[in-house]
Amino acid sequence: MIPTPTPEGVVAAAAFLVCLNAVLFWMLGAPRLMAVEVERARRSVDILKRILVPTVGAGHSERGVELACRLGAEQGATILLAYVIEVPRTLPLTAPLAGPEQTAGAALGRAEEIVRLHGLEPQRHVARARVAGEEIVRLARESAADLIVMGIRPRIGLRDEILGRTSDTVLRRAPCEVLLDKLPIPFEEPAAGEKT
Amino acid sequence: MSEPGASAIPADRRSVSAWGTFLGGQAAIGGNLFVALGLVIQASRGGAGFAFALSGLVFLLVGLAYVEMVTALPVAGGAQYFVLRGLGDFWGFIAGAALILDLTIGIALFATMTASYANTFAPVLLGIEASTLAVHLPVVGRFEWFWFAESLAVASSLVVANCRGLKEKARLNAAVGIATLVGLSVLVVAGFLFSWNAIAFVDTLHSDWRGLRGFGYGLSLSIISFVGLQTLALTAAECRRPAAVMPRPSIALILTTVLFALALPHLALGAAPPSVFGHGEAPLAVLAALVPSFGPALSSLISGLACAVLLASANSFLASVSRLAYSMGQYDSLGPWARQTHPRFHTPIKALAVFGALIAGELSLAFFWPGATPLEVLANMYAFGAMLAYSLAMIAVIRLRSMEPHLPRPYRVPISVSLALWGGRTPVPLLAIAALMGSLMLLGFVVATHEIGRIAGPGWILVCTGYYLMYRRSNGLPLFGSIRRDWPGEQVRLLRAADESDQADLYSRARALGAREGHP
Repeated sequence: MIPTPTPEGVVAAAAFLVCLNAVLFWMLGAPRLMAVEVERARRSVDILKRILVPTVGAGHSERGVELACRLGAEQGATILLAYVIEVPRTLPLTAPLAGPEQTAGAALGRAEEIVRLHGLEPQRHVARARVAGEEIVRLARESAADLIVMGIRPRIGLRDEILGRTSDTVLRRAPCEVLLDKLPIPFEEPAAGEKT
Repeated sequence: MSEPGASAIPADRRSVSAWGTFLGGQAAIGGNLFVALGLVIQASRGGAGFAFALSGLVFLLVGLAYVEMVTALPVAGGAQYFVLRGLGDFWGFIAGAALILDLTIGIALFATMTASYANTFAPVLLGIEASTLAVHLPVVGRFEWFWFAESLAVASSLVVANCRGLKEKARLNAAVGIATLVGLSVLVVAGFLFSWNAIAFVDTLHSDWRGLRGFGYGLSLSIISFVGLQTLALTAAECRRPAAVMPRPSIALILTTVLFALALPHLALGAAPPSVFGHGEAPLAVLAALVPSFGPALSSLISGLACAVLLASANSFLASVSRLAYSMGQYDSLGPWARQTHPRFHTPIKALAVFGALIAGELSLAFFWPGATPLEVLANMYAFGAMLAYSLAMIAVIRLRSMEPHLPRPYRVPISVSLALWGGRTPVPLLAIAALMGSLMLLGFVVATHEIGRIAGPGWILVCTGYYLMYRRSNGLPLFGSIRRDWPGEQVRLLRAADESDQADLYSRARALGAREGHP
């Protein structure tokens, strides 16, 4: 004859079974083991901890900042924002350039706002150089960037090279991964004389 | 001395699932659950439940820190290797020596307990109680020669089988793991439903309390249920992609062990008076027999299960201790004998012979010790080594956070604070500090309450230290210092061998970046 269980015994047995099953379900609920190649592809993005985004303050640059933030959001990457003021050789690098400095400040301010909206940490750099591309490469090397994200101008004239001088230099000489983003033409009309 | 380039990296690893890892671990450390209950109840009476709860909490904390280490450093040396990396050669050796003591006593205890559970069938198979075969010897007093012969036979069979190259069957281990999980669950549920009395439980808690000394002794014995984390290191060393596979099953294994270790004493104290559990022989068979109506059948089932699980656990401990010795040999802590293999069977024959002799010596000591049962003597010596090794491993976990910040840690002990330590900011894991304090507290209880353990444990460490110093001196190696090793190179090779090449890339990249920024 099967004995009758006591109420407190039922509660104790039920509590034990609930705890045991909770542990086992938690264990078996582990993310499915991915193929090594798949995991490698995912981790290759996870390791992007420092992303450099050069900006010129135009719409396509700011979209580049937004893209960089989304790429770095999951792993909490640091976004390095750079504005390079190209100083012509006719002027010393230290010459006062109030207008471009102001433009740089405004562009970086907008970019920082985008970065902060994602809860990431921005770091801003304003640099002066003769050739913007070389300065971006130098910045990438010195700040140990894992990735450079650049939005490039969408409108390319019939006689223009596809890549501007800056993006060409960066692509050729960057010490890290480079991602160029070119939007379709109707998205934005760039300001006259604007460069990437 | 080790040959150049020698490392702890195994050449071949196998693919295992989370469930397979969990069940293998259950078979490896499940034996502990069948051992301690009677001894702890005998020592602490009403305080047995609290004793298991407190030591279970320490085990949980230590276990989490262990998971961080076995997934970052998946080698069979386990705590010895973590301490070697974190604190240097000498302390690595001390941790290894403590683990050797712990694992060999564990094997002796499992062999004794296997015989104890098998003896519950003696009235049916032999027509007599095995205990009636005891004889009285001068000085020794009561000597259970039949039990001694059985225990020695179990232990020596395992050693001989491993010398000949016993092939471990993953499916058999999984079957034993499932049987343990199901069998113990049935025992706990049936016990709570049909034999547990809440009033009797509360009454035992209130009226049958052995004071602080009794509680302390029971607490230090309850650690027996929570020894065997070293086998996690063995699993990590054998499987592919341990970083991805190991964390969840390891934590689940630790949690289920704590759950069973908590449920069983609470059930026992509410099912019968503590005196029913006698001197601790076959405690779960006694507990199962208390279930009305189908108690005898359940008791036989649990006894059979216990024999299988205890054998699997003893075999796993034997594999762990021989792999540990091999690892110590590779890092110049033990002589070349630890790595010498049999020309035909390719097994570490000398190490196994040494450990076999050690186990036989421990069994003889336990059975010939006057005035105490063999289980009491073995249990008395058991916990010292584990607690010493756990304490050193916890210090190594904290130290490695500072020394090797770039080590890929797929699992990190939760809750860290950044403190200025060792010349820089270190993310100190608070739970590992709590685990260190807990294991030191338990070590203190062991030394204070274990009359045999407090002599045998430190004595063993002293003898081993003497051997170590002689070996190092004769080979012109630093006595208390460490040999310079290419740890980063070894880490990369280790991760690649474990099929964690992306982790290896991550590690190399992080180190390069750290070097640029002036970090170690």
